[in-house]
Amino acid sequence: MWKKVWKYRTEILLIFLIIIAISVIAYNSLNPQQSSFIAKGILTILYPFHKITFYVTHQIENGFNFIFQLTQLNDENVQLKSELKVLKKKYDTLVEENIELKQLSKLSAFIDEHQYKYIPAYIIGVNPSPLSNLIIINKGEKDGIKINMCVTSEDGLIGKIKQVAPHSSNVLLLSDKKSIVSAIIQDTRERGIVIGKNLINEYTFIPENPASVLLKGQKIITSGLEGSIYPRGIPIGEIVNIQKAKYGIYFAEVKASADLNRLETVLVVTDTTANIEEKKVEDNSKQKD
Amino acid sequence: MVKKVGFIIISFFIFILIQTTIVQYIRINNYLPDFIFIYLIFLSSFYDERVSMILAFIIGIIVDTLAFNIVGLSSLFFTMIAYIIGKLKIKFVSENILIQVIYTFFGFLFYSIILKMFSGPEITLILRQEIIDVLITAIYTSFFAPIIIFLLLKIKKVIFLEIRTYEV
Repeated sequence: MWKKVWKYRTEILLIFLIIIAISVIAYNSLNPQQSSFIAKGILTILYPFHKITFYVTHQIENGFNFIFQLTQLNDENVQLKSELKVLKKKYDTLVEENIELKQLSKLSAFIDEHQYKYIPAYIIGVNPSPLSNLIIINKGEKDGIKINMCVTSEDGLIGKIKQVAPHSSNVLLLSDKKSIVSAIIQDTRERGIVIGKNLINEYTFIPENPASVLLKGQKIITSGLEGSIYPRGIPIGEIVNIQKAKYGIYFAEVKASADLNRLETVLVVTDTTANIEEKKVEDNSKQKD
Repeated sequence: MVKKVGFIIISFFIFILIQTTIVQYIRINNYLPDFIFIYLIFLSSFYDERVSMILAFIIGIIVDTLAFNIVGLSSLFFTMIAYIIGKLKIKFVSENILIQVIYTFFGFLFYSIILKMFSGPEITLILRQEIIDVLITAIYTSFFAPIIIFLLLKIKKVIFLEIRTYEV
């Protein structure tokens, strides 16, 4: 009897397992709303297993997602870089416009303060020769520019027009050795001349009277003497050092009030003889006549 | 024996991990291969039929619980599949790759159709589209069967070799 049972042990096991499985299915089918005690038991037993599986799968999934995203990240990175380039370009343009706006407002304030007739111009080039301090501006003969016209900036005197072309002009900077300007010390009204030294932003002031008292920090402005091409009161610079030359003559080193290295826009003074208000009065009277 | 049981438990755990993670990335048009089923075929083909039947029953219970199927359904059919393969392996050589593919294909087809029929609250007839889906999934799963069984056999051989050297 037992030998026969042992011979069919596989089939008996199969029937036993099938009966258990069907019982479980039947129990679950009869109580579809409730989760069976078997499922509950298995879920309870499997809870740590589930937890570990979830954790591990989540980690692996994250790892895989990361690897898959790497290719997308590369594309995204390229796209963002190109967008960044465009934005940077826009930002640079805005910064440039802002600087330009500030310069123009300064120029406007300068024009309001010194009531002369001006032509604003942009610097379009620098003379390549190291022996002369020249700049090229974008206004020329056709714009009304003439030789020896005074060139200033919102900060102070720059130089004068040296050469004129139809659409551009060369400006001889005040720092050039060939430049000489009649000037006065603003507070003491002592007269003298300012000469270029071929050094950027540095001039020499030689007083007319050798006995003049020169002090550091004194401001030098154009004298506007009759016949001078430079109008009165345009700042030239500030005394930074006083030196004694031969024969007891004193002279001063002057630091330019306008930074010639950072020039971008200049004003060409086209009429130094009369200010705008006077011109307006003249114009009005002419119209009435 | 401990190593054998350890190998089965660990490999089953790894297969659940693979099924829930890596397999998701080889999804083709919403069709996924069933690696756990391939594992069941491997167990049935290369282990004692009674051991594989009990293991199939346990795997079925776990799969049902994890997949929120009717608990016991997969156990029933996994046990039957294990028994049938156990009987067939006397007649056919288990190492034959084609045999593994046939086992996987027909076993999965049989199991999936039954599962589809019992998937609702009542036994329902399966639609034509569902049969096509089951067929495609069976083919897709069968495609992976020889690769996975080959790898499992290699790992199993390495473990047995380790046991032998340990015994020596």
